[in-house]
Amino acid sequence: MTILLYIAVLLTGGFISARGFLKPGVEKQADWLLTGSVFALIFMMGIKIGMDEYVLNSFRTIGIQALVLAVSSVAFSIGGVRLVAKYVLRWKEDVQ
Amino acid sequence: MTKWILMVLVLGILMGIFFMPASFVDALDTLISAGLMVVLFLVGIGVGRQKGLFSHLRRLGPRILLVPLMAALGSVCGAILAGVLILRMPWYQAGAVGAGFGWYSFVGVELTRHSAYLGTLAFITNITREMAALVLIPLVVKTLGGLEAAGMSGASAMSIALPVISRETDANITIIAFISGMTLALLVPLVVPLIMRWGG
Repeated sequence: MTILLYIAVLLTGGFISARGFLKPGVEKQADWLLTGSVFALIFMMGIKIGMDEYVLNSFRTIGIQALVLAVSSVAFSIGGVRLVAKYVLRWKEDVQ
Repeated sequence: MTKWILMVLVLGILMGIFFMPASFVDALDTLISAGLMVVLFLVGIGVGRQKGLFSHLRRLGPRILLVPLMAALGSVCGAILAGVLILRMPWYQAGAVGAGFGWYSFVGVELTRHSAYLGTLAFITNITREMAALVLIPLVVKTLGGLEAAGMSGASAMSIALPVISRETDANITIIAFISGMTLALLVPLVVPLIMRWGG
């Protein structure tokens, strides 16, 4: 359900913009608003983590193990996608 | 950008620890949900502005799905390797934690059904992954590329990481990141129980 809502909101923004319903000035303001909103969201996410005793205590006890797993997952995800980007999608030639 | 994201995140955590009353939690969830909708709408505006986007995507076709699939494979294999070789964990437990793809709320609850410790580990690992992704996106985009940043972000590429990806890349990458995040989010409820069943 949440995924459908995300898609709907994204498509609505895309539709309004693609159909030219927004003036160029408004589009520029939207860029600034996006940057501000990103930082506001990250700030709120930080507050949520900081207010969660369970999360903070768990960081202290199993933080190193979680960090090892997270770093390895992220590194191998990057590696996997790099293979696709370089040898299958030929991203630079196909798109850019 | 990386240092600003890190600073804002740390500032938020400190605010949460020292200044916020507990009663603020419910309002915070509502604010985050509303903020996410605003951000997705603005990302949509940015994507809609780009001309020729869908012809680019059509040219790539179903190959686009290789981005989330390889991100998923890498995430699970990376967790298994680190879990078995460094942490001496059973392979399937490490793999299931890695298969959370950053969706910490789901994988935490799902694996708590097997053990409280594993659920907590999955929760913290995936929340760490989401924070790391947010902070590292600008650096990864600059040094490796936008697709790598999208894959690294896991399921959060369709939510909190998307605006950062959008800001640092272009509309092509942004839409692929969203598709990647969505695919990974759909895979989590399938892959986590599957790995636990194989191992258990």
